[in-house]
Amino acid sequence: MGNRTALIFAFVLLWAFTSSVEGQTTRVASDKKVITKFESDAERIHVQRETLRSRVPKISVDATPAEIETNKRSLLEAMALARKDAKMGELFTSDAKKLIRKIIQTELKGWKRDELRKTVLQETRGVVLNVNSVYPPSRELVEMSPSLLLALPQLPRSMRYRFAGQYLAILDRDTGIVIDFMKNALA
Amino acid sequence: MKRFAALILLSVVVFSGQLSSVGAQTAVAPAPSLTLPKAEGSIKFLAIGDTGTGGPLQAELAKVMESYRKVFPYEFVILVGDNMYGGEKAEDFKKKFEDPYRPLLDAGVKFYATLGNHDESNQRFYELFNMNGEEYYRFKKGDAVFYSLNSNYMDKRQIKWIGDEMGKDKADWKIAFFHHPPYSSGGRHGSSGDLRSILEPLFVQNGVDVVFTGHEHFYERLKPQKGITYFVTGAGGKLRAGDVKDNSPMTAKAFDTDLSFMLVEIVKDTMHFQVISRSGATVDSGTIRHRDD
Repeated sequence: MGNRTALIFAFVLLWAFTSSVEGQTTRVASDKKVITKFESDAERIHVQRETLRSRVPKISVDATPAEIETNKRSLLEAMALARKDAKMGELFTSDAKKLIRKIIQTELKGWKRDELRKTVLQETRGVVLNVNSVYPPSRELVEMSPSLLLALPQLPRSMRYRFAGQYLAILDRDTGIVIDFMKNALA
Repeated sequence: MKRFAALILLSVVVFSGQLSSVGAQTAVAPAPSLTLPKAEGSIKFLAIGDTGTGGPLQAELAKVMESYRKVFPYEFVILVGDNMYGGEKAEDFKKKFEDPYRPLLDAGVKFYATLGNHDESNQRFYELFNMNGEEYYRFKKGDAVFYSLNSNYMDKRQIKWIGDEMGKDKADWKIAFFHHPPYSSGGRHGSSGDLRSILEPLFVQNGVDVVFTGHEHFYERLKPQKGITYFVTGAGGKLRAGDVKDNSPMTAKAFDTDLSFMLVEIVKDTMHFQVISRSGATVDSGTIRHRDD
């Protein structure tokens, strides 16, 4: 009787363990799928952007302020035109949003979350975002949490994650164009 | 006779007025006085941050920087970010950087910039910031290697670059500079703890000696943390008066009542520093020995 109870107990334990591992594996695999899609969509936008960049006046590594301004304006105009039909959700699909909120909640806990919330709300109050508009050039950009950047899906060099108020946005690095954004990122 | 006496009296008044006016100027800007050794062949530079307002305070401090260069011929300046506040059109580069520092630029002083939270990444192309088109980069001066990092966006690529470059470098001195302070006693911002959790292990492992940062608009020298000396030198154009927390256990010395910059000289295994306020007074000075690897 004792042996039978022990056997049943061991079986239940084994079942619970394998179910849990299976659950995790499924979740990780589905996350990977979402991340792969997100990263490949971002790469597609980056390639399009680099094509546009190759067509605007070149900029050297010892440029004058006027050359910098011209280059930025040309790229901005080209991107805004090419992306005139871009809509919210191009990168932040509902699956991506769900996953990213989960990553933020996991990575930003305790003082990290408090530190970021305080800074973001303090420094970006009143910033309004729209896809394909430009992040206000006179407003500062809040530094991104390094540990969160390590956990989020990776972006190409030309794009940046940025928090603004309750939003998480993806901006073009050199023009400040809003590629996409999601709400309630720090909720 | 009365007219003659009045003339004499008037002359005395005018003359004494001129004297007191000279006296007042002297009180505001005393002659530069150095505590640094000014050794032959040493590495001499200036560190400053949060400069880019284009306002009168920045201009006044720039004049003091210029006057100190006459007695301490520093070769280059490191800018720890917020090089331009509130917009970056071509005229902003002139107003917020070129005009105030024109005498230094004309004298051949090189500026090496890092990006702050108010700076656009396009500054990396600006010829006078010597960033060579990169948001993070390194340069060597004598026995010292300087790493300019982008603390706005410390991503996987940059973290790998830091580890790779610092691991390869065999220089006596390893000096990092960037905008956000891993340690700070500021009431407004305080320490960037998340950044610290990523950078500090890299710095400790790779023998970084000194770190210069800004973001906080005051001067602070932190007590050495895991063998590394951290400075906050972010009062180059703006001041957040009284922002350093009283009795912070991390503070070795702080100054938050006026703008300031740092003069630095490396002589073999010793770094000498002297901090100068807008009035030209010395508000901190000392030496740091480089870490034994």
